[in-house]
Amino acid sequence: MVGVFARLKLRTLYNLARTGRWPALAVVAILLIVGFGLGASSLARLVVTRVDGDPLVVGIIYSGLALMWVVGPIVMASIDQTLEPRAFENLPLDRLQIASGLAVAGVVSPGSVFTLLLVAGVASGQTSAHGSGAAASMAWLAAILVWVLCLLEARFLTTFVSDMMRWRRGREIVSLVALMLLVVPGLIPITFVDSTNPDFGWMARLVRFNPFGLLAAVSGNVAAGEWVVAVGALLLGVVLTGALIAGFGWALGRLSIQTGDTAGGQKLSSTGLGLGSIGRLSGPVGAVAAKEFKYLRRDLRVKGQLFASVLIIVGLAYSAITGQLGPWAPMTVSAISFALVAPLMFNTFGLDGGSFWIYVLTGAPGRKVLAGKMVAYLVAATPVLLIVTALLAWAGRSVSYVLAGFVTALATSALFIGVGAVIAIYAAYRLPEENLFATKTAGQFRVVLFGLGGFIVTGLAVLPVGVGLVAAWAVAGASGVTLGAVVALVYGGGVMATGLWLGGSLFDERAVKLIEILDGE
Amino acid sequence: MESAVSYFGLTKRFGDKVAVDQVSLTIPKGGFFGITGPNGAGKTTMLRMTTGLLRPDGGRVVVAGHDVWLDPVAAKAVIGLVPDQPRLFPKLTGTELLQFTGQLRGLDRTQVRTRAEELLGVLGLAADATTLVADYSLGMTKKLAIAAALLHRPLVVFLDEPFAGVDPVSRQVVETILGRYAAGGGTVVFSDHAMDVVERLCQNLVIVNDGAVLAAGTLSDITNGRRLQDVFVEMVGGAILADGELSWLGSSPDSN
Repeated sequence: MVGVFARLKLRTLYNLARTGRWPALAVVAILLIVGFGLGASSLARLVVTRVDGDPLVVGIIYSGLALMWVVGPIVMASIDQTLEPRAFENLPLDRLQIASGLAVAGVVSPGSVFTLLLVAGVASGQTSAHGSGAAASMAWLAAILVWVLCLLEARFLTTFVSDMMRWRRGREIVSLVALMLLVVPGLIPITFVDSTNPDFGWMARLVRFNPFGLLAAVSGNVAAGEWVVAVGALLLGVVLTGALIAGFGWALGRLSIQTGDTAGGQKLSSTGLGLGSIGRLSGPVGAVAAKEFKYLRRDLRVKGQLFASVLIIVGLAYSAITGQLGPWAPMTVSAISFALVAPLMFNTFGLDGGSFWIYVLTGAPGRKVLAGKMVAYLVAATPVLLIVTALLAWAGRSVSYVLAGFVTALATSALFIGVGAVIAIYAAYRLPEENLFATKTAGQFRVVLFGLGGFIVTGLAVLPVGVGLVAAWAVAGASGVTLGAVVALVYGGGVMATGLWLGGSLFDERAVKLIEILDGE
Repeated sequence: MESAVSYFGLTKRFGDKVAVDQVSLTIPKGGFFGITGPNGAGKTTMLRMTTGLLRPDGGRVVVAGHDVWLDPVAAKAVIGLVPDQPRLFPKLTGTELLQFTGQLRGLDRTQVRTRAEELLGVLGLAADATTLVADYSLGMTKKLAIAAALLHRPLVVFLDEPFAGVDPVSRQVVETILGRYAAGGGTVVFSDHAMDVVERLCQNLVIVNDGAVLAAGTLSDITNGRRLQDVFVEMVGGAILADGELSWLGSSPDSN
């Protein structure tokens, strides 16, 4: 039975590369992961050798892997059904068969290969650094244990949240927790960007004294003759492995005794994560804005973004209290602000498959549709941006930071919207007529183009604008920051206006075409 | 009368709402059995508990002699299930999905291949056998789910609204396949709102509302010569428009 699961997973991966909608992307992604794994493995070996097997460095790598295996599988759970226990629920398989099958499906994955390569690089580096056979053996043992622990924690967690993931509120809660796990470590460097006397001691302690950090120090401890500590760490790893296996089994068993979907849904729906209303809007622009805002309110990414913004504000406050803001502050503000508003743009201008065509059917003018979307976006984005920039101004004791942060973020957003509107509408416009109403296909097509466009535009917008502001700050001080921000706004606003104009034209042309088709029938 | 499925006081609550209330019922072996009722009556909940997907709060279900919740593996081995929203592996082709489903059910590979080819051919999916399930329409997905449910020749097959989204030609094919299966001694249990379908196919049925059984037995016993639609509405109770309600719908469009 385990073999069937392995073949099922391999076939799924093969099909993804062979006949998926984005075969080239899938192949590239897999090659990248494996290639990146080989590269990371070599790099890890080099670094670990150079730092003489420093347990802190290895601990950071192992702890990072452990974190990725908590967040990644949860995020990917709805994508890869071969890892979803509920996908096998109507088959006559007992708990052991499903558990072993899911475990094998987890092993047969690019992520698993990547992790194995990385820990092999680390163990190889430790072997080179510590020399002795015993230390080398222990390094490899610890590495394999880390790999097994990573895979098991993923299986346990995805199974544990399987029922919750079937419901919108459940998915929101799980994703928010996963997001928090990602954001918090990401905040650590941000909080120290402008700090003059950063204290990294607590971070080092966190890395050293978690189970993965202890496994990272095993070979070093053996080399230093501290066998008891080394064996203790390995034993802890083995105990943790056993606990995760037991937890995985328990979570699988729990699936069949859940009180059911509706009960779970009812319970989760009372957690009150919804955002408030924005009041009445009228007219074509208002109607579009109201619809879009309703969608934003119901979108997981928006809620995640707002939740993340709270964490980021806490990070900024910490940074402000512990140190002075330096020349990288505008760049940081730009990046953070963009990160905060980007999900709103994705939702409003790209990822909603029926987002544009539903308006085509209403006969609403394209520019008014886009204007309505813009209103919704601004209503949702402005308060978040204002909070961040006000906090930064308070921390930096300078009004220019308010302008720098807020205007830069707006300019970046405007740039993104302008180009994004053209990309999204043009992508839909180029679809064959028979696919006019195939919103799934249209949506996915747009996701690819919009996603790629998004990366390019982010790079084009955030980096030059941010770097320009840094340069302006360095050359002309606070007034330079303001000047740079205004220039950025003019630049971004210009692109946005052009994008909305072009996008609106394309949209209206398509609407005319649709009306012709309908009349013909 | 030999039974295919037996319910003994089956109960399910979701918070304060009683979804299925002390249902005791016997579904005879062979032929078509219809479970019908209005939206939210508890039909899907009942089917999920019957097929081992949702644990009841009370009572028992026995399918082909196997207690579903005491011996779920044995029960699932003799069950075929087509949920209202089939969850199939989207990144497999139709053929591959049937092959893996058969293998996961412990069937021989050659046997699976032969049956899969036949089922796909009869259901009109042969031309799309190498297409990914992700690219199937709703109707095609439903037909593939039906093929997957019949692949291991179950003793009882459960279908939750099997004809929703299926075109008339395919519906005819599915009805014929299920009819042949039932003629061979198999039992088809399905839930549906379409009274004409239930009336045409089922020898026996149950009408449920608010989780409770309103009527159960043979079609002729329940309808007593009347249309099933009329009997159903009478039992369940339907909303009737009061004078003046939605009057604007009957007015001239010019009066907007």
